[in-house]
Amino acid sequence: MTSHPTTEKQSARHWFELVVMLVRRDLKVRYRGSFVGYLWTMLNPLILMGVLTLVFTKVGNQSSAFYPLYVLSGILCWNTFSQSLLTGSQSIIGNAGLLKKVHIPHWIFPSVSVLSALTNMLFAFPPFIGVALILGFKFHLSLLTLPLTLVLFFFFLVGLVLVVGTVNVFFRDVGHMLESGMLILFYSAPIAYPIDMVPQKWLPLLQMHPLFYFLKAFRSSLIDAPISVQDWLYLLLLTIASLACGILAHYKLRDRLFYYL
Amino acid sequence: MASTTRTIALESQDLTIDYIVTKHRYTSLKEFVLATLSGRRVKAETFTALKNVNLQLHRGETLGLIGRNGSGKSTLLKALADIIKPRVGSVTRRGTITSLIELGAGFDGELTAEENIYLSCMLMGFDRKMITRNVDRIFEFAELNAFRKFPVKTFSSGMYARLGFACATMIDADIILIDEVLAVGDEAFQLKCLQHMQKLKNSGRSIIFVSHDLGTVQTFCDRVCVLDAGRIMHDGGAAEGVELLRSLLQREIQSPTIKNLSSQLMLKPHEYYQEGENRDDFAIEYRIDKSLRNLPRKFQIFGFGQSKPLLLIREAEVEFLQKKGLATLKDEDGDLHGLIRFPRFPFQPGEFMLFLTIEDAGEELGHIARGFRFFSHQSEVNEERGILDIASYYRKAVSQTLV
Repeated sequence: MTSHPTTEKQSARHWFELVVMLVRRDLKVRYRGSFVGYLWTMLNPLILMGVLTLVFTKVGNQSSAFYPLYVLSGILCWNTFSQSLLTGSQSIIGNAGLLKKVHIPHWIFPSVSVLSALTNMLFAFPPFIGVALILGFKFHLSLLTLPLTLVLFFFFLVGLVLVVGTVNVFFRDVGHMLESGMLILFYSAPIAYPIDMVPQKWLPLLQMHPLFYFLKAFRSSLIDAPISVQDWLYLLLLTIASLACGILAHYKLRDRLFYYL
Repeated sequence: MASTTRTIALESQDLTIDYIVTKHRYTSLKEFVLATLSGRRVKAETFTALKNVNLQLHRGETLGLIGRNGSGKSTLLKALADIIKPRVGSVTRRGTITSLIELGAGFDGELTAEENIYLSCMLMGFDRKMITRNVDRIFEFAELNAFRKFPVKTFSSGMYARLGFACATMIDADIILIDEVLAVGDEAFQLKCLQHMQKLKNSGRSIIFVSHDLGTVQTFCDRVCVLDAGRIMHDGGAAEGVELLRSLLQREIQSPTIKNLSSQLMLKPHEYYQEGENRDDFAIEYRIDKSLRNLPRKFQIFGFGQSKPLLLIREAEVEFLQKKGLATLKDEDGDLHGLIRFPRFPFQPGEFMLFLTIEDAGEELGHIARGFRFFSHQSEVNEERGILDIASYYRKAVSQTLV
């Protein structure tokens, strides 16, 4: 026997290859033959940054020179979060045709959504560096923690999207509810406003925002001083909790999924 | 047939698969929560696609799986391939397994032919290196070498199918499951595909082959299973199996069940309701002849309306009304006698038609209609309300059962 197709215990390596292949397909289809597509991915956060900076410096009396970088890092983190969740929540249903005909695990598709979103985030880093250079910003050594933050962010999102994507198969309105929920999450997150602008008594509430610590971590890597060990611990716990929920939802529901696709 | 576990490649034990009928389940969280809170949750209706299927595939054997449309062939294949996880029964696989349910599964129109080969083959379970080694051979088989870098959306349907099957020629495992895929392509291409399958067969692979092409099944398969309504009707010789299915198909064509619908169906307003009498409640009475009750998958639908049915009550909803005490069903010498009560007539007073439609798998077999007039105490038509007037009591009892 020369080939080794689908076996009972398919190697993790194969599924990883498949995820990468599907991410590449996503990106190819998105950017195929158009530099404009790629340009848009870069330009989109910059425009939002411009608007928010304008509002908060002129109206909100925000005067830090590197304020645009603060906003932009927040936007990059947010965009990845929202793109993961919005595409991920539909990812299992969207691939129902395939799941009904090919033997592949369901978790592949939420993972692909998250990885695509993270790749788009990486595409948006060059403009970030551009803005930093223009503003004369010098990167700290804390930039070295960026890969760790990205890895944690990836697993955090995979867990979350696995839950939402799976539940959305059973209840198709979850995806729509999510869209409204995203609006609340966007305006309640410290993306455009600095955390120290928030009154002390509101801080515990703000800390419950799913992105609070991730925003902090991304900013610590990109523009700020390193975050505390305690914060890293929170991040780790958050990631583990999210991933555990995702895996639990997957194992509990995977056998029933087919009947609802 | 003496067989130890050693010689069995694939086996199903008491495999039963129930599908959930989409119409009767909660598809949104909102509906589900509301129904749960108000205690009105109804159990989802299921359709049994496979019932206690015990199937054994021996090593090196080619088994043909045949049956009418909707007999459960594809469901069985998917359960054997681990695409559907059965809730009752189990499947044992010994050795590597691969399935081909659809040609070109996962093809994306935007991607080039080459990219699609990688994608599709990886979805079938092959790793990159393996595909790289075979990609030239695949293009040769598909006779599409000149179109490697073309997006497949520019392909004709024939080219698309050829590319799909060429990918499928990668297929190789101890156990191979193939669903009706040879039907595509011209005769020459079909022959090429069959030769490829013959090669797999000769090399000792265990194969299950689903097809409607009975001639091919008879010559190609060592053994044949005939599925009907989710059960195995025949498991044995290929010639006998094919013969049995032919006779089943023949019988279906000359189905004698619908002869004279007006004598097989009866529907009228219930007699306690005197035509012309003023009252709010209403009842219908119906009879379904035993010859119709034995249809494999018949459904009955009641309709109210002026020229076409406006309000429909389906079979499942009659059962629901029965639980609520609003319908009674009686068996009289095999005939079904039913009575459905409406605490309030759901329409404004006026002239109506009653309809009773018999469907088989979504296809109307026939219907009868009967006209009647309905008056009520509030005999005047309320102009503001339109013709449908669902009183709150009625709404409570029936609303979730209406389509």
